[in-house]
Amino acid sequence: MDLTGQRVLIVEDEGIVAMVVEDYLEALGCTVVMVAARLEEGLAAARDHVIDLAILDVNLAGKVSYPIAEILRGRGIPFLFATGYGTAGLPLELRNVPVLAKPFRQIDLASAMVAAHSV
Amino acid sequence: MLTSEVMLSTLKDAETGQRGFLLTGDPGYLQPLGTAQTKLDAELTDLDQTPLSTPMMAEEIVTIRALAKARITELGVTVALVSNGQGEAALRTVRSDDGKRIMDALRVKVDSWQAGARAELEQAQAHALWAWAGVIGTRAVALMLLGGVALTYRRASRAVTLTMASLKRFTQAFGLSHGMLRTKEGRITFWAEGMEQLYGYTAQEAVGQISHQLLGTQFSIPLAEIESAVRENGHWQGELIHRRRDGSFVVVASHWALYEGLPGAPAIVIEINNDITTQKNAEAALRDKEISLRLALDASELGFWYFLKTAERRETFWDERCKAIFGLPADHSVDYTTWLGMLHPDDRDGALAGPARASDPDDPNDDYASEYRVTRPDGRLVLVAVTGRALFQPDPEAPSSRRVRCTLGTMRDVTEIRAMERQQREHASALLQTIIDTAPGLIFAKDLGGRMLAANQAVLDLIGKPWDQIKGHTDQEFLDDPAESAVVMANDRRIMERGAIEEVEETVGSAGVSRRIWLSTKTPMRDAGQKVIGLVGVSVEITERKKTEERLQTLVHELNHRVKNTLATVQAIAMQTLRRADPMLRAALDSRLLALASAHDVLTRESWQGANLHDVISTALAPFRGRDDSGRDDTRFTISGPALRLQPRAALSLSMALHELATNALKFGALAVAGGHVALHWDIEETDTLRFRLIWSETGVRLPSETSHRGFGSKLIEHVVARDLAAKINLDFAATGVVCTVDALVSEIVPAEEMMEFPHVGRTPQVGRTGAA
Repeated sequence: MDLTGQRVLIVEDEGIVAMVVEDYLEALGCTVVMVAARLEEGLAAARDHVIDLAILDVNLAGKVSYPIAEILRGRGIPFLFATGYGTAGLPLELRNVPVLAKPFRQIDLASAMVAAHSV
Repeated sequence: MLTSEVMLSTLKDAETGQRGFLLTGDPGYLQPLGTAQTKLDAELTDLDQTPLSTPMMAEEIVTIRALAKARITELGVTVALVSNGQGEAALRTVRSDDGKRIMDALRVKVDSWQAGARAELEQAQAHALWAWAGVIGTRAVALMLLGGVALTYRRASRAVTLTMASLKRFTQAFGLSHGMLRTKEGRITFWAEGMEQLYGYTAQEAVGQISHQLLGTQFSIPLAEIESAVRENGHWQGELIHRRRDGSFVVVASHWALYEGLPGAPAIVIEINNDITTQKNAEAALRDKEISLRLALDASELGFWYFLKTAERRETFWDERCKAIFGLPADHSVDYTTWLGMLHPDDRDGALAGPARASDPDDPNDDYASEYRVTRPDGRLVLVAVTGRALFQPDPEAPSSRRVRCTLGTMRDVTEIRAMERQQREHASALLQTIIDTAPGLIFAKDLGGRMLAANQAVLDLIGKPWDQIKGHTDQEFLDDPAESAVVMANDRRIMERGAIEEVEETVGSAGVSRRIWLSTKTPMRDAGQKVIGLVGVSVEITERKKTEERLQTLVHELNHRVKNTLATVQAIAMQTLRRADPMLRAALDSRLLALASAHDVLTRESWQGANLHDVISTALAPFRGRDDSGRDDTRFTISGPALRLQPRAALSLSMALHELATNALKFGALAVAGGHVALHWDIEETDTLRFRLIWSETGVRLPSETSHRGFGSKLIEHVVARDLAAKINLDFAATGVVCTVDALVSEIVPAEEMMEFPHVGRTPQVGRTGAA
């Protein structure tokens, strides 16, 4: 699947990691809509922006990003989790969401994005 | 009376003579018969002269007389028959037993006559008509003798006319009686046959001696006093101790009587001594027994009582102690009403129940024991313990053919004992209660229905309700949270059904309080028959422990997350730093960091306790192993070896080593060429020690011999990994492919606790083998 031109929302509280993801996405020909570092920011972005896909960090400065996932799901926008926790911590209703274990390679990100679209 | 005895004896003599003659025909035997006949005549005359007060007794004498005559006549007849050659007839007469019948009748008459005479004497004594009668009360024979003398004296107020000779004749009638005659000075003039038996001295030895010297008399009171009493009253009686001929002592009941005799004649003392040693000993023994019984009763502070109830009479006896227990004076008379009236009203029914049951003829248990309170006259309340027994007598008309005759038993004041026991009980109970209440956990007991039977203060505090709202209620009733109580009660039911002790985690709190977690040890409670009747539980709060465990879990989780995030950050920094650097370099760094991160994933899954070697290999080789179109495993790899858990450090090192080997193979070796193959095998070898050997061996590769790729990868393997595992590593870049061997002590790479899984040298390691991973 061609990911070129995808409008992607990054929700990530660690700036340097977000930067790497931005690089990966640029390399993949995607457009980063916004990098949200906090839950509230992420919620607003998920509600208000036109997005093709979202990459969600689970832990946002101590708050979980699941409410953002709810909004995205409500809007039918595909998303994936990028986390250091692994799938074990995810709530049952989010178990089918693709999870990228940090750290990850560009190729891993690309396949996770493809997987997110096919869920 | 005496005379009658003599007469019987005379008749016996006559009979002996007759029998001797009948048997031998010797006329010599006829002499005693003749003498006896003469004697009898004289004795019968004496008998006639015996003064008698009642006509009945006179009649008796006539009968005795007639019988005696008949007997002597019969004896004479047989003798005459034999003398006349009519032996057969004589024998018939003898065999007819007529003689025996006469003698028997005579014996009966004499006995009854004697009894009559004795009664008369006793009457005389009662009327004090004759002081002497009292002297010799026990010996009817002697009494009769003296009675005769005295009555004559009294009646006629004449001088006694009996001569010394007739006195002696009478005294012979003492027979076996123990009497002596002596002068006022004590010189013995007559010594009866019985005296010889009693003292061992013959008449010959005794007569003429001073009796008190001969017998070494020990007086209970001074002799002078006795003599004075004899002079004054004509008699004395008392106990003396005499010494026998053999030196032994004898206690006698001694009776002295003064006989003044004829005017001018010397006064005579009649002394009759009866051996009462045995009786004295028996009395002493009885007294001892009584004393010991009393001592025992005193020591046990038991009072003795009985209650007699027959058709004729009712009698209540309480000893002094019984009365003292009830606070009554010793001379206070006690009956059923007194007793009942003093009982505490609440205890009356109980006090009556015991005796009523014991007295029930149909009830097999005739004993009872009860305790009741008694209000003493001084108002003090005492607790009395009673044991009793009902005694029965046969009564065909009564239920169970018996009727209660008497109840008897003991009583004891147990006020203080019970108070003390109660104190001790309370003390022990208070101690136990203190222990239970201060125990740092919940202690409780429930019945089969889950109803609370007992609980310590901690339970009440937890539930937040007073005991009366908990006692007899179930968890469902007194716990605030129905979900919590349902779990607790289900646990209880299961434990009681299974009848086995269990340790369970339960959540019990009260409303408004954050949930508290308890580790409960519940033990089925059984009755004497081992039937489960409830359970006893002890719960220790583990809320804090659970919180700590959860915190630790969170911490580990967070730490893993941080490590991964940090690796992600490091990766990001590296990528940003090398943005414009050689893409090959970036890829190499990237993949090494990712290999490290993946190895961490394996360890994180196992909470850093260790990692399965298969998992470590799978994870490390995952980026290099593709799948064919049908999803089968990459056939370029053959992986085999026993299951083995690795220490975290060994897992990380091996991960990195495998990553470098695979990267190298991908660039230059087996994974870079078609037909290349990687075999990864390991095993545990047992020599002196357990050793772990792993071989990475590539095949299907053809490389120029001079090719050497020793770079960071080989350094990492040969130095870092070798040190981490304390292993000998041989890395051979052969032209046909890389061969790398790792040889390490199992103890260096396996977690210490896992080493227990390995048996000692000489046995095959107990590790499972797996095929291709």
